[in-house]
Amino acid sequence: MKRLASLALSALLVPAAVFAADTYKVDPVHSCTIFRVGHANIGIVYGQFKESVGQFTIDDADPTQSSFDIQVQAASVDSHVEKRDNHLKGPDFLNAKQYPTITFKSTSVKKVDEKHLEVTGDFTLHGVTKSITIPVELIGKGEFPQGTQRFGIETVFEIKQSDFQMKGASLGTSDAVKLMVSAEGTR
Amino acid sequence: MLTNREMIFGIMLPLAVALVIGLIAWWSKRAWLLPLGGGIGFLLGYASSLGTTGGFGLPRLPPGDGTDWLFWAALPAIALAMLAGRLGWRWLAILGAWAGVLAWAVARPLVPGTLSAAEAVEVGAAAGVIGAVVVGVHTLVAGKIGHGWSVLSLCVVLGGAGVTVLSSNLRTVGVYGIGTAAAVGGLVLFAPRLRAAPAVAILAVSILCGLLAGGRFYPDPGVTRIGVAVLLASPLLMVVGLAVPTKRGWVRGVAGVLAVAIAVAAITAPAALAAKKAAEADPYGAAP
Repeated sequence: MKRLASLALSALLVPAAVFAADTYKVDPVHSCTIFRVGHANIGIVYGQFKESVGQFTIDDADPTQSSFDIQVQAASVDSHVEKRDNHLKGPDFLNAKQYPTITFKSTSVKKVDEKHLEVTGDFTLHGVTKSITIPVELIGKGEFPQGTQRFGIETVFEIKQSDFQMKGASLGTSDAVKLMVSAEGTR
Repeated sequence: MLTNREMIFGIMLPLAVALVIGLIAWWSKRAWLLPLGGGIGFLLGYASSLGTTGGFGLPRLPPGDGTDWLFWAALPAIALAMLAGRLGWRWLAILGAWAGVLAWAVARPLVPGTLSAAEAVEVGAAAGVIGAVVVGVHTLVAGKIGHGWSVLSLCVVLGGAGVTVLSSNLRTVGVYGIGTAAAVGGLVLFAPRLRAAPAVAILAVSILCGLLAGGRFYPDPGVTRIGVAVLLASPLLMVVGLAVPTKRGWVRGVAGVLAVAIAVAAITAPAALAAKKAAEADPYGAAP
């Protein structure tokens, strides 16, 4: 009788554990924020932001309850050329001293299919906050190394520098900047 | 290297506007129009850098970038300079203290991350004192040596400050400085007849302090502390002209402007050469 009761209790608890929303902390070592910007209407320059932190919650049972909160350090910009990086950090572009972080905080999530979400949130860049909607792909989840649960997501979206009061478009770079963000979260 | 757009709209346009308004001022004998010419030239050059599709734009109010306070805080500076030009009283040199408000306005958005509130106030106070002293000295110098020489020396300082800021990873603000120098330079010919050097000095020293506050605190590496100090003090070297033992005004004027130019070059030339060398050694080049 005691054993039966224990089994029944387990049966009640298991679904809750399976469908609980899991919160993952961004693992900076396995996360990456790449930007792609046009140069002088001629070519394309790629660069990255090397430091990002934050967390995201994935709710398997109800993806609309998922949430994303990511912060990228503007001063960690790296375009592979130090002089250019210094220029990018200044008021001609990011103004990293005045606006040290670039942030995205979700406000609503829509499920597209099993692997894709449409996430609307407040994107803050250069001190300007705008609501944007970005596609988020749920790449995968698993245990690696043993004892550490991981979840991987990726998003690719485009913004306009002028929407965020940046002056880069008048300095030989394209107004449109593509951002590619890959984040691995751990718990 | 400057782009064609920066050359045409950032520098040539301010010069042309200043020349036209200066000519009107000269013809109508209205001294207060001269700082207006320099000011409108500066504002147009600034606005030309904010258009995303080749047009003109205005910075937000309140500005996003702290450096954009340069634009908005220059408006009262233009008004004060016009007032000084209209009234022509010597004690109006005190209006040069607006330079302190402008420098503080530019530096303040970096509080508390880069600067403390007290440091921003100190920057403003120091710039205010320097602004008033520069205008006072130029009021004296203009009367003894000539208003044209006084305005020419201010043009040299602004140009040097612009190049130094541009070489310190703050391209847009550097171009604003060079554009302002062009506009002030366009007033040189008209200043003697109108005796307007003090009024122009109020505008010039205000923008100079704003430029240097931006160039010092926002970019990396930014203008050095010594660079800022020398560039701010350089307009005072016009007094060298007063020490030249001659009655010929132009000799004293040349001596004064040369003294200013040497001080400016001592800061600007190494900064510009270092930037040029870095650009040559680096695939990034001089343009983003």
